[in-house]
Parts: sequence; C-alpha cells; structure tokens
Amino acid sequence: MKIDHANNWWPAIADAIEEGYIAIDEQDQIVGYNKSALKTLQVSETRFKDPDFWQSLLMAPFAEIAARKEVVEGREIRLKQPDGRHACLRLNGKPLIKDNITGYIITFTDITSWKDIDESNNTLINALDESQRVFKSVFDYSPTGIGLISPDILWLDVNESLAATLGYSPAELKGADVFRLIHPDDKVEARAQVRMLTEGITNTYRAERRYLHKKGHYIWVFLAASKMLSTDGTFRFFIVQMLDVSEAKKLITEAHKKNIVLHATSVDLQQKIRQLQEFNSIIAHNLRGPATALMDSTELLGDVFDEKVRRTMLEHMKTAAGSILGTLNDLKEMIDLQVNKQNFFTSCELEPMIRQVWKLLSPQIEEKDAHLSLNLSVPVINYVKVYLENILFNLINNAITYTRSDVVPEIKIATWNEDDQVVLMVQDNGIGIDLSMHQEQLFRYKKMFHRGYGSNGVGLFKIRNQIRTFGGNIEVKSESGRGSSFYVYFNNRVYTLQQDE
Amino acid sequence: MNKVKHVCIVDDDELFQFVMRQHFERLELVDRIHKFTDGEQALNYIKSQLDNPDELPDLILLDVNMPYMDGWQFMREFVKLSLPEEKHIRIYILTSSTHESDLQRAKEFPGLAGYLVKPIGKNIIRELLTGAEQH
Repeated sequence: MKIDHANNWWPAIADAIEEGYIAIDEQDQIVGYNKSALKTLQVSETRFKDPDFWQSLLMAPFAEIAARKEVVEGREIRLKQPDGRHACLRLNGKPLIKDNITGYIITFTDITSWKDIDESNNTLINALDESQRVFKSVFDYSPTGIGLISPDILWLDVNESLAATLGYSPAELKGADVFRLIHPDDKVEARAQVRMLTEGITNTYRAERRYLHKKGHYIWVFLAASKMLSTDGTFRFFIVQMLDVSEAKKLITEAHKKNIVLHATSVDLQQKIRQLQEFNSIIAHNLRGPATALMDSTELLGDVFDEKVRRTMLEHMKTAAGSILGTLNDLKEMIDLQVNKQNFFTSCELEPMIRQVWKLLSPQIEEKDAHLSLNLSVPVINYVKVYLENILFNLINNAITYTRSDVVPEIKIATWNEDDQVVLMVQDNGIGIDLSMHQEQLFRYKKMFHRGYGSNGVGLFKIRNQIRTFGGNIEVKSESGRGSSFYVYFNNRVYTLQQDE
Repeated sequence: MNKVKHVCIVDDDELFQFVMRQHFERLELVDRIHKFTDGEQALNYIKSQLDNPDELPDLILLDVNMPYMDGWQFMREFVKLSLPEEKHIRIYILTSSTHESDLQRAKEFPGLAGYLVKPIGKNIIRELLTGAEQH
C-alpha cells in the first residue's frame, strides 16, 4: 500500500521540487522529467517529448555527462538558453541501475543569479583594493605631508613628507601628541578647530599655523583637515594635509614691507612733484613779476628827469628787489626743509608746547579775552620740534587774529588717532573763510583773504609745506562768519619709515 | 585818433603800477588811469559805476596773481555783471606767468581781448591804446 501511495504521488512530488531532473534509459530516451526542468531549460513539454530532443544541441552538455555513466556532483556548466542568454547550472548525475537495466538521472539548479551577486561582490572588492592601493601610493609618495590623527589627537600614521617637514621620521611621530608641536600662540585656535570637527559642527577646516621643527625653530604650515567616519557614522580619524609655507610667508612679509616703503616713496615723490609745481608757480608769479618790473623800470629810468618821480621810482625798485629777495629766502627755506628732513625727530609733548605758544601770544589773548580748551587724546607726537611749534604757532595765531568782535574767541585744540594718522585740530569761532571763493588758494604763497589783519600770506603756505614734507596733510573746514577748523594729519608711518631707511 | 578815456591797471606790484603810469602819461593817450592792487577793489569800483557808463573803464590790464581776489576770480565775477549795452570794456590779462595752465585758463573766458606776458614795452602799450581794436 505504501509503495502504491508512493507511486501515485511520485509525479506530484517531482513537480513540487525546485530542482529540475531528467532521466534517460539505455536507449538514450528521456523517460522522466519534472516541470522545474522545463522551466530551467526554457523548453516546452512538446519539445521535450520529441524523441530526438536528447540529441539536440541544447542537451549536448547533459548527454556528454550521461554517456560516461559516472557519478557527478556539483558540476557547473554554462548553457546557452533558447532566449540567447547564458545560464549557469549546477548539476548532479548518477547512473540508475535496476534489474540489469541501466539509465541515468541528472538533477540541476539554475545558479546564474547567485553567480551575478558573486561577481558584483568581486568587482566591489577589486575597487576597494584599488582605492586602497591608490591611497597608499598617494600617502607614501605625496610631496604634501599627510597624517592620520586619532580621536584623542595623537598621530596615528604620518607619511615621509609630513615627518620630514617637521624634521622627524614617521616612526618618531607615530603615537605622539599632535598639540605638542603646535606654537603656544596657535594652540587655542587649533583646539577650537579640532573641537568643531569632532563635534560635527564642520567636516573640514583649513589653517595656517606654526609648528615646532625638530631643530628647535618654528615653521609655518598651511594645513587642511577632514574627518573620516566609520560605517556606523562614528568618528574614526582625521586626515590632515600639511605644506611648509615658511618661505612663502617670508617672501610675503618682505613684499609687504617693500610695498610700504614703495608707498612711502611714492607719497614722498608726489609731494616733491607738487612742491616743484608750486616752485614753478612762485617763480612765474612772485619772482618773474617783480623782476620784469625792475627790467622795465631800468629802461624807463633814463627818460625820467623829474627828481621827485625818480626818487619814488627808486623807492619802488628797492621794494621790488626786497620782494624778490624775500621770495628767494622762502624758497630756500622750502629746499632746506627737504634736504634736512631726516633729522631731529623727537617725542613732542603737545600741551606744554601749546601753553608756550599761548604765552607768546598773550598780549592779543588778553586784549580779546580769548579762551582755550584742550582735548588731547594723543598727548605726544613724534615730530621735528621747531616745525611742530611753528605749525601750532601759525594755527593758534590765526585763530586769535581772525576773530569776530561780537563774540568771545573760543579756541579748541584736539588730537586723536584716525587710521594710520594722528589728527591735530585747531578750531576757532572767528570770521571764517569763504571756501567757495578761496578753497583753492588757501595754502598758496602770498595769498590773502581778509583785509586789515596785517597778514602776509606766507604762514599757511609754510606750514602746509612743512606738514607735507613729512608725509602729512592739512585740511580746513570753514564757514564765513562762523569760524574755521584746521585739521593737520600727521602720517606717522611714512616718516618713521623714512627714518629707518 | 580815438582816445581811450579810462584805463584800469589791476596789479599788486607797486613798481609795475608806477612804470605803467609813467608810460601812459608820456604817451598822452589816456584821460584817466585807475590803479587797483587786487581784483576785488577793481570789481567794487566797476560795480559802483554801472549806472555811469562814462566812468567805466574802456581798457583793463589785469594781473593774475593777486591777494584777496586774483585775476581769474575777478573774471568770474566780471562776466556776471550787467554792463550798459553801449559799453564795451576790453580786458587784457597781463601777467608774468608763461605757464601753460594759465594760458589754458584764459581760454575759459572768451570775453578776454588778449593774454600778454610781462614785460611789455612802450610800443605794445601804444598799440593797445591806438590800434587796439585789431587785437
């Protein structure tokens, strides 16, 4: 009964299993197969039942195995399927022997998809190998220093370049504290950057900092750091790339210094050109004018017989000659200033200097009851003392001279720092200057703007020349009937440099 | 001969003023010579005589470099004045400067009759007073 059962269920069992099978008899006729065999071989049942099917090209690898009538286990074969694809089959074969009758059975499974997975795994592994090789080659032979830093900020590994940059061998650095070689002044920034990276605030950073070389000096390096994470997202190590930029730094500093000198020279040259233009203008007007008048008058002199006229004329000629001489002296003073400008720079305390000028002008001050107020944020200016005294004298003297009769003269003097410069302001509440009319001529030679104050138009000309000679400048703000403010800009940088040269 | 009645010499150089006056007086071609030592004085005089065309100068010799108001400032103010229609005032820049920049500036005032460089002799003065219209 049991056997009967088995015989009845046999075809159902055969169709239920995933493995395909084909059985043949002694005459190479297919005597058994299941649905999995049809499916795996992609063949219809009709075709299978064809008596010649076993001899077909598709069955050739099977027939070859069956012909040997040997036990075969786990053999892999490639089979070209009707749709043109190659399938990979794993098969077992076994002779069937019963009552002197021998047959053969082949069971098989399509393992093509397993193979595909294997292959892509292989590709991945190869790619991984390749990238590791590339990294190692870059690491070993890069001219850039590369190092790996552990989460507790020790050198895990460094390449030759990094070690050589710092004067060590890779073995000497491995395991060392990274911060130990960083310059004390750069450590705070370094720690802050590392923290940003470990706390995930940033993924990379760049920095320029000083590292202690094995020989005891500091070098400047430019570095870029990034972090490497494990597959689970936890922090593994930093990669730091490092380049010695000490030489470049030195060149930049030198270039910067040269630039400052160049700038100072250029300011100086511009000033000299302006001064030459001014010379030219003074020669054209203030020298050539009276000189031609003298020429004219010598011609005329022969025709003048009236003694009184002659005397007046000679008087005028004397004045003209005096004016020429005066102008020549002023020009000489300008030139002397240029020639001697390197000398005599001292720290000048402003307040005593101002008090002294104030005392010199006391008759006028008492007569006008003038008031002085000081606000000297910068109490000391590095300058040539006599020139600074002269600047103060001229500006304060003007402030006391050009006063309004209906107000008490208030004079404010202040100093402060502005960019590279020290500014000195002398402010009054006097008659002011109509700048729309006189701006251009304010500091020019022998220009005057107010009648009846006994000015000679030389004071402002001379102090601007002194100020500009040392790289500074003077400006004015003024309103007619309200007062004037003169601003002197002392360019400390330029004349300090000129002294250095 | 068409006599020029009024001449203004605007120049702060006393010797130059004196010499010019001597030349003018010797030539006897001028009724009156006005002396101004800066532009402002000259301008104020002209302003005060705008209603008296006969008192206005016919010829002005104008220096450039002067205190208070120089020649160019004078010109800027002068061109704003409304002169009597029948009055023609010839103005010559008369300066010791041969500066290109001064020459260029003179071109800003097309109303100028000319630009003369000191020294100028008797002959030029005579020309200015007689054949002046050709200038």
